[in-house]
Amino acid sequence: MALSQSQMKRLTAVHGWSGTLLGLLLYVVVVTGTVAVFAEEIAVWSAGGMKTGEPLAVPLDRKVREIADLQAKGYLDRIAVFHDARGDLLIYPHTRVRHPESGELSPLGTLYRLDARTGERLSWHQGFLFDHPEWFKTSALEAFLVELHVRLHLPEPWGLIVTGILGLLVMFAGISGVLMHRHLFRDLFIAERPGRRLVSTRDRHVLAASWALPFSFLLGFTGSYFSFAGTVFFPLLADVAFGGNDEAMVQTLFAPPAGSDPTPAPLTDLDAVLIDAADRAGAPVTFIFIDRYGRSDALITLNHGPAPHRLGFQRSLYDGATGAFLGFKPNVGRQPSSGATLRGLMTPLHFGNFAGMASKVVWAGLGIALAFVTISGMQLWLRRREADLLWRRFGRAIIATAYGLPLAMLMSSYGYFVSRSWSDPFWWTPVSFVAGVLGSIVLGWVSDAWRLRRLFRVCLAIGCLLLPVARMASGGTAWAPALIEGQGTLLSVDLFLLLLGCGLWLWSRRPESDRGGDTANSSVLATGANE
Amino acid sequence: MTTALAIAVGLLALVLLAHRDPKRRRIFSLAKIPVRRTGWLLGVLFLPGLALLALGNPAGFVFWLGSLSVCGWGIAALSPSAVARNWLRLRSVLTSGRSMLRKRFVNTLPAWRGQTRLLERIAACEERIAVLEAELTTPRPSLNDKVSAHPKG
Repeated sequence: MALSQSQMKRLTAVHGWSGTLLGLLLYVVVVTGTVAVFAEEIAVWSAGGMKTGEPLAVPLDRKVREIADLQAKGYLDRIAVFHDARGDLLIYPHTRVRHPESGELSPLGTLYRLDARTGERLSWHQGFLFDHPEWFKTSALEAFLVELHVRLHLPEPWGLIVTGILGLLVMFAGISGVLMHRHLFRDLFIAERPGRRLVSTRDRHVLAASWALPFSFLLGFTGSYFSFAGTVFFPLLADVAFGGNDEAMVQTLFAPPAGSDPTPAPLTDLDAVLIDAADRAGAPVTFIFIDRYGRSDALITLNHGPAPHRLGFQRSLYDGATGAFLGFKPNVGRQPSSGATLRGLMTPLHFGNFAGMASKVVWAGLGIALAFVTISGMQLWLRRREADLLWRRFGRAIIATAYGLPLAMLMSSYGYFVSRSWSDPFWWTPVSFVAGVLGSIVLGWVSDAWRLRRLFRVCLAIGCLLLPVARMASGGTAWAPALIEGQGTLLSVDLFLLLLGCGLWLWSRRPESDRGGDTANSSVLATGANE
Repeated sequence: MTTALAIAVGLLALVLLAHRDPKRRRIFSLAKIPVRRTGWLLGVLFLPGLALLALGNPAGFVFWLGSLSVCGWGIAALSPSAVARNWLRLRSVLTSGRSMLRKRFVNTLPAWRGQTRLLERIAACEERIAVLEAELTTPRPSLNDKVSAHPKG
């Protein structure tokens, strides 16, 4: 599609201005998303406990039955059985009632935490589950980082709307970039040209954007779907197709088949169901729901991890009274459909968790490429306006954000580790992050550009190198017991942080003559330094 | 295993495509190589991915595509001079390591350092020459242009 000169000019202006206005926010979402790919590992690493074996492995039947027998009948509408990052077993018998504050239907019951091996009851809490994330989330750090990526910690529903718009921006930038850059395939192997010229800055932006193009579109699309699903799509669908009845829509699209026989009947052997389900799905069970416990129409729903060579996650259904396999439940509705298949693909394609750690590493690489595209795009825009004092100051803001965000994330980790032994980490983790952000802003304000980058790199290096020490000093598992117990995640994350810290330290020690290599618009930033 | 093999074949194809890319060679002042058809290389690049799909391994296909995107960026982002510099460094490290072993840990570190420094200086000189060449190739208004642009009278 050939564009006229004026069309090209307008498209360049929209591409550049949209990227410049929302680029820093987009960078925050992309970087936190890159880290959130490893949310499970961060939770295990920071929780400080020892995960021994699979918590949802057999024998499980007796543990669930003992808890269910303690409950009043009204709280046995549904029993959720899952585990946390520490490897403890969580059992939550509950019913759904209107929340007094929100007016929405919300789960109310008693959450039991059990030792997964012995079945010993460790603690219990009664109330609305989603009012107290600390009951079922063991790591405030993981919860904070994921929430920052998903909602930017903005109030409902604005956080999701903002991240949804940023997802759309990624898609728009990809499409407009392809239209603007006509030699996409011809320039696919053009590295940054030497000389730190404008064309060099352009080279590095175009190269990263070209290689990341298919996945930036994919990640932008799936991300905006997740953001807009709850805030726009489903409320609209409820209005259009269900006369505004949200509950009817949820029952039709997502809920398991409704019960029809309240006759009392004992639950089937849960262990036999678990073994059969794992065998049929070819993947371990990750979450269990038991609906209508103790009735003839009881239903067991089991979520599975990814099966080998498969993209979508599966959900198997069993008759709770007889233990008969009822089939795999589609992602949407009760009959297989292309819509259900597409929706089932959203999660693995956005999270990159379909092939274990290997696919997560690749997804993190794609996240790094997207973050690089965002920053290099803003640098290119800035390079063309280097004569203006205001834009030079914006250049300083780019450096402060690019380095300040990882620094603030490290600060939140320290806040979490330091506070977990004596105070509420769910409060101190975000507070430490804000302290890191404020510190980065102050650094960006007072220091010149070159010293600023060097200072940030040194701070990041020290922060990474000392974080494993802080983890162990605050009661986390030391390396020797972790090695004996086969705690691969703990050791891997610690080792990665140490290597990253060494790399950052070496980067900060690079001689002055190499300074042009790290950021494209060093001349802009250097002049900005001397204002 | 099939996915790993598909990725390895794809990476090899990407390296060869980058090495033969005519625009990349022209920009970085590399010697021209005879023009050959690269269609078969594109076949080598894409066929393993399509084979994964045909074998009913959609997860492998997406993983293959993601891996090639990330690694392709890494391969293309390394300029030929950076590749040469890193190769020289690696070779010097390997050579030094071998000679160190041969001399049974005789103190060869200062010599190795000197060699590395020398190689770094050569690489820096090469980079500077590339910059100057790029400046020379940039068209500038010549004296004749100015004369011809001047109104006659």
